[in-house]
Amino acid sequence: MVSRRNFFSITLIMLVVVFMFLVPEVIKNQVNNYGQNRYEESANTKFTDSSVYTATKTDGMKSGRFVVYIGDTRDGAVGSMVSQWCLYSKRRLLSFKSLRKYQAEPKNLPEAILIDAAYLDFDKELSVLSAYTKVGVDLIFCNLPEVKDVSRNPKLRKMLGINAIIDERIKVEGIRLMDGFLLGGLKEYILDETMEKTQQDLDLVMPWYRISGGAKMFMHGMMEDEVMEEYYMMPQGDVITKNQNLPAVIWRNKYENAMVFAVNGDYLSTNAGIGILSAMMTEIKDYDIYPVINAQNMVVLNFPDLANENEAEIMERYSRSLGAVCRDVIWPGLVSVAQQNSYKMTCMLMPQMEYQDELEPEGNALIYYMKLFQEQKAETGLSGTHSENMDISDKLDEDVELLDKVVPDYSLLSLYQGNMSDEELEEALKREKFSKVRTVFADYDGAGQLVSYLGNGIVRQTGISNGYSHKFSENLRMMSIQTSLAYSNIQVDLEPVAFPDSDEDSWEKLSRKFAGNTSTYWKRFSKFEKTTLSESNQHIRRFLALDYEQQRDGNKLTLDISNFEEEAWFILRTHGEGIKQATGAEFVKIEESAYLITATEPRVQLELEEEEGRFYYFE
Amino acid sequence: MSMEVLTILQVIWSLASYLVMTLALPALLLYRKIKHLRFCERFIAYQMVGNFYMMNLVSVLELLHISNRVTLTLLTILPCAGIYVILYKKKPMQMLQDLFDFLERLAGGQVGTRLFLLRVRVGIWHLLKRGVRALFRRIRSNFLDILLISLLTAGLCYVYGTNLLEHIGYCESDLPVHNYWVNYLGRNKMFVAGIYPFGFHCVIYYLHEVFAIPTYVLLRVFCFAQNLMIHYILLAFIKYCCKSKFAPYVGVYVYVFLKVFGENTYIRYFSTLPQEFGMIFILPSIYYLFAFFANKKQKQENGQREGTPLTIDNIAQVQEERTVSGGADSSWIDEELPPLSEESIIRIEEDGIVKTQVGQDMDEPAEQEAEAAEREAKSRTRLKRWIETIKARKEARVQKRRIARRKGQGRWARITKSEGFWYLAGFAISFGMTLSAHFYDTMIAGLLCVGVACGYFFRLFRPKYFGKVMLTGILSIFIAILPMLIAFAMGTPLQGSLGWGMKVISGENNKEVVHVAPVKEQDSANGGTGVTGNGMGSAANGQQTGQAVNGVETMSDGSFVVHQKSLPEKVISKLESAVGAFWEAMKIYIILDSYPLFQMLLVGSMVFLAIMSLIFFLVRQTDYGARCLSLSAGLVALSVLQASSRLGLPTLMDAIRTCIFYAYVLVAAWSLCVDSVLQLLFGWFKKKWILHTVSLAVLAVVVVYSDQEGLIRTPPVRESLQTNEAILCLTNILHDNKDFTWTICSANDELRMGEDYGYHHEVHTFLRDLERKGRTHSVTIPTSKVYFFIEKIPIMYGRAYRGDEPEISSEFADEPLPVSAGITMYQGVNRLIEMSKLYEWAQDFAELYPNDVKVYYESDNFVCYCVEQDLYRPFNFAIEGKD
Repeated sequence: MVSRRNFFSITLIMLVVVFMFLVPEVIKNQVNNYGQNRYEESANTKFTDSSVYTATKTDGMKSGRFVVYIGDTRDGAVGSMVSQWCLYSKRRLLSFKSLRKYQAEPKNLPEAILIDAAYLDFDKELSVLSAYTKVGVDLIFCNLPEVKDVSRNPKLRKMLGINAIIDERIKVEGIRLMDGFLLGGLKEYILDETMEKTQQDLDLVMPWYRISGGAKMFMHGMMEDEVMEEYYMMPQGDVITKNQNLPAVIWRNKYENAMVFAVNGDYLSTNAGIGILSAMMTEIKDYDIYPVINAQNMVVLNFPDLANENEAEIMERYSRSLGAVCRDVIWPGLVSVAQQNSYKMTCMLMPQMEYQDELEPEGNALIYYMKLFQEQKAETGLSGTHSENMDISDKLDEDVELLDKVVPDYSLLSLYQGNMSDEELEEALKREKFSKVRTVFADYDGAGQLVSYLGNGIVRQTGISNGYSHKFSENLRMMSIQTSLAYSNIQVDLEPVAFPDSDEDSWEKLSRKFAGNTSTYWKRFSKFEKTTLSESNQHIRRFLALDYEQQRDGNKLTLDISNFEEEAWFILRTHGEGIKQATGAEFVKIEESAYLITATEPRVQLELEEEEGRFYYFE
Repeated sequence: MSMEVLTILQVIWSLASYLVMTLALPALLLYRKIKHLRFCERFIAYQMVGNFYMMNLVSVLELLHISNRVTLTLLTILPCAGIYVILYKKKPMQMLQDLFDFLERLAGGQVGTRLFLLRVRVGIWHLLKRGVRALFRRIRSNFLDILLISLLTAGLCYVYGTNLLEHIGYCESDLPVHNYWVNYLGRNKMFVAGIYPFGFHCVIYYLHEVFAIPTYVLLRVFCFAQNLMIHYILLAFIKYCCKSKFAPYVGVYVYVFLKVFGENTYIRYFSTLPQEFGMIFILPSIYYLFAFFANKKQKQENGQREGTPLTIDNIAQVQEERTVSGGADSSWIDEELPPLSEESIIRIEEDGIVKTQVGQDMDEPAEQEAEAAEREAKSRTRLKRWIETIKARKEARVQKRRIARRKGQGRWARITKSEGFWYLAGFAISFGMTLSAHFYDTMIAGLLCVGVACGYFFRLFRPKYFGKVMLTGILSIFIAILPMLIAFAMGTPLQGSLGWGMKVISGENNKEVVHVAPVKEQDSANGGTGVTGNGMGSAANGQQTGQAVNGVETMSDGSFVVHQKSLPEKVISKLESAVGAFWEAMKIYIILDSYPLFQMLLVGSMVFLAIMSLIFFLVRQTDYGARCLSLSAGLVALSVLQASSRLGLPTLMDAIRTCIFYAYVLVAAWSLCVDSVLQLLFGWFKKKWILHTVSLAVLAVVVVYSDQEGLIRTPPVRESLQTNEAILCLTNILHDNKDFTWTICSANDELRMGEDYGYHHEVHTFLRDLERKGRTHSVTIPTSKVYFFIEKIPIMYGRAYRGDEPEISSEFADEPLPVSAGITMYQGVNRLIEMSKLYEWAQDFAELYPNDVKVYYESDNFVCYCVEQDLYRPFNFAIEGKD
């Protein structure tokens, strides 16, 4: 028998407990403003496509950032990459299809001449190049001519620092990127027993050039000792001597009064080249400071599906509906990876793949996810992925109708192009609902621009890495782009999970790869800012708009930024120097001799010092 | 941290480590056993025991190949604990049990934490109070002594410490070799370069291992600790010899503060060298001989004075009589027992030891009896208890002897208790250590022993003394050379310099004293009188022929007459030439011509001490007289050694080395001269304070006089054979990098300095590789960092440069690489060429790799470049051969 007094006490305690649990939930729901896009205001910027800075001749002379390219900038490969790099690094670019067409002005010599070997007449124009090296103009051979051309041209070999051509065509075991060249440090692209063979997708067949003493190697082929000893008569047991003879991939030679860089392969014919070029410029100079985007995105594509599509297969694989899989399996996995690596997600909604069936997306589910996204500070966009059976226009109508119904006030700022054509995209963007879209996210297409304006004030960002796959070439590309732009986009497409083609598309396998890749390969770039697409859009607009001038006086480095808006980001790379203090900016060390500078004022002053000061000294 | 501060800390740390081993630890173990001795004697004993233990512990472990930090530390702590337990009759098991009981009670809550903390606090407080009180008591009773020793220490810091801060590199060319040998002790490879006295190296190695001081640091800074000890030992020795309190300071003052001595007499003090380290043991060996002979005599005197010898048998009676007649103060029991002979006191102490040792072997009833006697004695009053304890011990001793005799074990115990055994043991240890450190020290100690033999001639040649002394000497040498003999038996050859020493002693290597040209002239003058034999013989004949020439009188017609000299004339002539030779050697090496007074004092002190010794013999102060005569005779022997090359005698030691020892002993003689005069004039007063006061006054007069005459010296400067910047860079490199991840490419000294931590590449080898191998092959240094030490103004390494400005230049860089071996490639202009070439190469390399070559440190006369490289594919340094 419970006394009245105890009964009262128990009741009171139960009420208190209920109150304690309910109130936070109620408050959270009330405060959760999921119907508004939190990045609409905070990620705003005044810069548009008309603000993009393009260096003029005067700018080039004033700042000294001026290069000449011998080749075709419209060839879609090397030329495209070079022009892209010049745009990002605020350099003036002069392009000529022949060296003879370039008439140098003695008072306005370029920093470097970038050469596409296909456009150079090695018999006649080497002497001209030699003359440029005498006046200190550095040369960058973006690729090399045929081996036979190199072989018959000793002057070219001397210029390139090629001591001997050991073999015209060999297959190396792997590629080794040496420390201090790209950000991220040393990397060996060689398979071990834990890796799948598909991981190795770099071009391993190359001519074997042995470079001479005095040349510096940045990337070289790796070969087994036995192979070198047996086939190439290398001394037995002397590993160091053998390593001196390894096939050169990227190196530089001191020739006359200039540095001559050479790339043995097509590494500069893709976007991966921009980081390599930046690293080369750092190597040429005592220090290098250049603007970067500073944005690390994680874009979740086609998530969530709100219509329980493909039910039979999903039930077979996961014993639950697609909605439940998204809610109970995929979402916790995504949040876990994002939180572990401090990423902000941008989720591209795909309410339903096909609207032709009887199923309809659930409005309540959308509200549920919008609340979750809001809690995780994720941004919501809309995916343009659609079934081939359905017209994209119809699909977008349905999507917009749902959004207008459930979250009518939510401003869509980003749109995933998916499998929409450019025309379809252009048409789609004319809709009222997409009037505030600032970013179009597209898949990586190899040679196109990484970030650019679409022409109507919308920025196009491309995915750089696939969350499920990280092959060697992808790693090299990622490191290179990080070096040049401090920018990365990890895209995680969940369409294969909803509509799997094979067992490999099951979430447990994909999520393992996704989590492993994200935690491993981006670790060294953790100092860069994690953003959503709208935030990175803001960074890109500021990045493309700004111009800068820098000058150094002793240990003082002054940076004057024009077209400055609130913040701008730069990377400072030195050779053994560090930042002692900064005014008008904040800085963080990325790695040895590399710093990320966040300018908060248009004039930044940095005081540099030796990174390794002497512990003992004489007074 | 500045290098100056670091150097000071290193000096303090090395000194503290050494003092722990040679003062604190021996004092902890031995103090109670030898507290009746004077402090100077105790100090010498501690020094000898500490050094002897370190040397022999390392030697034994090295021969067993188990020497490392753990074994060294364990075999230091455990034996010390064992000795402590045995000597002071501690019961370790009981102590452990008590400790565990206490901990158990603490854990069980029977003893509260507050009570425990209170006990700890009170214990610490009492300990501190007692310590401070004892310290102040000692300072009060020896105020002037402590003050003067403090001033002496300050003076030594000023004179020998200043240079240590200004020139922080090695100052002698043979230090890298010693560094090498010590390094290899760390790898259990003793005698790595052949057999050599390793006592010094063992001590350095011990300090390096146990106290974690890098060897190169010790070899840089240990000279300071060594100098302090050399001077303290000198002071302690003089203190023992002298009767007045402050006369000893006169000699030490002159030695440390006055500039009358030639540079060669002290310049080696700026380096940590075996010979100078061995000087610590020279005077103690003489002290032990003195003490041995004096101990015998004191016993006899005491016996004569009291009518019967004062032994353990009558000691109780005598003390009782003194108590009855002397006064009511019973505290004398706790005092040093001045009325008793020291021998008796020692014997009382020793009885306790013997009891412990033998008591363990006693039969059960006998042991019980002895213990019962002890227990009974303890229950009496203090005076009676003491007397009865003596009696009980006597009875116990008799019984123990009986038992021991029955077991045949008493002989060794009797020997160890025999008169002077411990002094002879001390002599054996110290004399042996001179040989362990450096055989030059043994020579000097041996010559001084000859002096002692002269001084104590009246006792030494008695059979019962002579045999013991000689046996001790032989044993001491045997102990010292035993490790070397073992190594030799195992096939290790003699080290080069030892072979050279042997040749010198055997007279095979006396080229420096052969004066061939004059001999030939004299030969022709003498009508070709045959001069045959080795250099030594030639020199001797030369001297003789020279005399003959002097006796040749040329006549007006060109003929000549040879005057035959009589024997006395020949002797006088010989003596004259000997004195002349010594005088010349003395002026060159010991006391400069600018100080004629001190030159006269040098010669005069020998004669004066001899005269004074005769006087003291006459007034029956035999021991004192013998000490005076010993020093006088020792100085004469050293004089002969100093002038040996000029006298045509075998040059056992270079005059430039002999003078160091000469000056060291000379100041002791001067102190004794002063003391003997004071003793003669004031020693007769019963109140000894008169003598002491006068001696203090004399010291004051000497100080004032020397100051007024401008004789006080400024700190000498000894340029090092290494730039300060090289040491700075090396220290920073060790600090900045993990071990064995770097290579230093430099001349030579850093090779051994950093051997235990990283790699070294010779500049000469590097340049030679670039020239020869580099044209066709890669030249690589496979460590992640490579440091190049380049002297822009190369140091003078034992050879002068041509021209005035020894700066590196492209002209020198264009000269061919020196073709020479050993150190000569880094001497004189060769060094200039090597450094110029390396600098030029570094400039070219830096041009090719501007971002990879960093200036690690640069000053006006030195630059250190650092090349950081990828170990997988290190740089090919052969840049000339790139085409």
